[in-house]
Amino acid sequence: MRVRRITSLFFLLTFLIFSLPIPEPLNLLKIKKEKLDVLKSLNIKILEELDTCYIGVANDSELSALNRFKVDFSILVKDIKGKDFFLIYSKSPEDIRKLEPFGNAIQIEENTILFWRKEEMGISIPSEFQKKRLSKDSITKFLRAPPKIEFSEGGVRENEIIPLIIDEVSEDNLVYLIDTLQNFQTRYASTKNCEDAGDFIYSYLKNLGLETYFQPFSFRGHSSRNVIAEKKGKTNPEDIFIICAHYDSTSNIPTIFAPGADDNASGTSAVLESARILVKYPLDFTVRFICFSAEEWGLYGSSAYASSARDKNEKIVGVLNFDMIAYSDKLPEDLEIIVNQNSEWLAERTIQASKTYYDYPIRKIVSSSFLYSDHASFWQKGYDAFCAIEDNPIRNPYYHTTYDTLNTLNIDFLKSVVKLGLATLSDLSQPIRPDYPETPKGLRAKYVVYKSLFNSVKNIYISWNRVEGAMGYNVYRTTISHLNYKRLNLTPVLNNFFEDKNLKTGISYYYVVTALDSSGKESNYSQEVGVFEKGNSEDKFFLFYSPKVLNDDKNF
Amino acid sequence: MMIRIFNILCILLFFFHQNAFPGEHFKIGLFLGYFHPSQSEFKGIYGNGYPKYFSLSLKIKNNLFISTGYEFINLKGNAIGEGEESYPLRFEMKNLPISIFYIFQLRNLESSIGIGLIRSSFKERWESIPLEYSGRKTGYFVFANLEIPLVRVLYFVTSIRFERIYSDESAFSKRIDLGGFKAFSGISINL
Repeated sequence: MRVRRITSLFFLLTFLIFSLPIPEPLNLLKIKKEKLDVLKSLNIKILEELDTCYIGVANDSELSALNRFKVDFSILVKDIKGKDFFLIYSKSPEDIRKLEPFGNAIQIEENTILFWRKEEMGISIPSEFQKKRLSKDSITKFLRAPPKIEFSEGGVRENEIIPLIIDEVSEDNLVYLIDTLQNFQTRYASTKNCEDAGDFIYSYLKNLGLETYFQPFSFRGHSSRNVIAEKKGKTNPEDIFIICAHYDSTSNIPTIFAPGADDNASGTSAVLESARILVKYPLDFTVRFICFSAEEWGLYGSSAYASSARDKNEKIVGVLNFDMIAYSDKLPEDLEIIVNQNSEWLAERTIQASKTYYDYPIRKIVSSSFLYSDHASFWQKGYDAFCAIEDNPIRNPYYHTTYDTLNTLNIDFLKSVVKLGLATLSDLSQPIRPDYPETPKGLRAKYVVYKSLFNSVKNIYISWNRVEGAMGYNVYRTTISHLNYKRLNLTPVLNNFFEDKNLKTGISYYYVVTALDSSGKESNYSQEVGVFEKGNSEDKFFLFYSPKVLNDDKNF
Repeated sequence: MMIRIFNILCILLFFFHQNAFPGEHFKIGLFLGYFHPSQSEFKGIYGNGYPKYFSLSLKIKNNLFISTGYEFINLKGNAIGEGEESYPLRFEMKNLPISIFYIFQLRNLESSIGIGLIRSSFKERWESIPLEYSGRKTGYFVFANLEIPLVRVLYFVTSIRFERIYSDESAFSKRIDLGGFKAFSGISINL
């Protein structure tokens, strides 16, 4: 009897074990950048977007599905379990040979190497390389078709306060900040000195009167902190613009001495100087000043921040990341602004702000493959961001060495970059001018599509809250969010609503409104409202974080 | 263009008939009809319509006829949308059907059933804004006729037809069937 019971139990257990689903091993793929809709519908986990391809993971059944839909892909690594992956910027074909002694390396694009080794071995990549840890989170739902940018010769609408703001940039303060930061000896994340530098940044921002806090995070058995300060917007505080830089440093002897004056005390000084100046000015939209840690380890600080912002559904409209902005290998040194296609408007807006407020040579580079600074963590979460850098590829011979000190920097160049950054940030966040009409609030929109058998048109109806004392309003429209607004009305709109009729369907439109007073003074732009049709690929993304993007009568 | 093709077809039919089947029947018909579109979107925009149809048929063997013709229809409608705006529309469709049909006697009435292909040329125009679309498509149809003799060679004809003509594109997320049910009445001269 007992033997029979044991035998039955044995068979039952055997059955249970064999009926349990066995997880299929995941493969790392290089997927050609096409058929995004197919990849989304198959729910393929894409980890990175590069210029020519996506890096994704898929199990064997998903590979069959990709084959069925004729998606062009190749397997980079079979069974990724227990492996730690990095993307590394490659300047020359010899780089791959230099990396081979440290782990496995494959050239996946002209300037991108995939590097990996077993997790338990830790990372050991020579400090001369720019690297980014391959994220384990999917970015699939944030991928969207990029807008077609229309280039504009003109500048931005002038705000009389912005020239006053940029005039306040102090060379002495920039030098003081870099000197102080390099005097911590090292700011290598995981060291006490780095935490001390974090305390200094915290105190600096707090003493300005800004709401300041630490964001602690852990990485590879260590912990560190981002330092965040916020200046809340007066009109629409939910729209957030970020100016950021990493304050940690590295070198060939990172735990002992890594002054990191250019990389990246220069960027940190830009953030702190911007905070010092902007704190005095009331703004329409919120500005956050953020100094990230553990960038040099693989963007850990910014990654923790961007993930948390996305989890909280924060409406981060644009991120200006400054990384290495004080070394010039030639004169005059131009500033490189690196963006992905979706963030191109930020670079264009910077160029326009430069034309209006501070003429300076800028080189725009559109490259999804440049993932080696904190802006990439925001791209990863579907936010628009740029990276401002002196040169790409890096030409500073002291990069990641113990010689990266204040005396090697060009402070005039740094000052210009800070002025330019402040002009752009102010233009985006909009300083409120006294004696001007209030910025209109409560902009909302709805649309109706009319269809015949073969054509359709879209009518958009927008309305906003009345502004006290306003004699009329101007309505502006664009097809690229936050760029190149064109006025729609020939004479001021007297009511607080506007109809924009007979528009093409399948195109997203964005609106802002200004108020006019009796002397013709025009307020700042209102918060932007975007109108997307249901089923449009942008629709899901924007509705995800913007409740103002709607087509709901209840809200109209 | 459609008229030119129709003329060519008539001439070809005439010679084909003269050479192959001298002395057989020849039918010329003129009809007014009623069109009920199959697809709800089409019906929602334009409702029903009244096509005009001219046909030419030749007996090719025993009770078997071939036929061609020229048909046109003009429709007026309004764009559909959830708002209160009105966008008047016009839709013109010109069809060139080619069919084969079989005639059988039903007491003293002559009945026929047939199938055919239809080449359709259509144009949709928004009247208040400069927006239009034109296209061409081939579909198929089945039909049945009933002929009642009036005097000598003159017959009264009623006909019902079911057509399917799918467009390649549309403003909806599916193809549009430009066909539907058609009922015609008219006179035919049978020689």
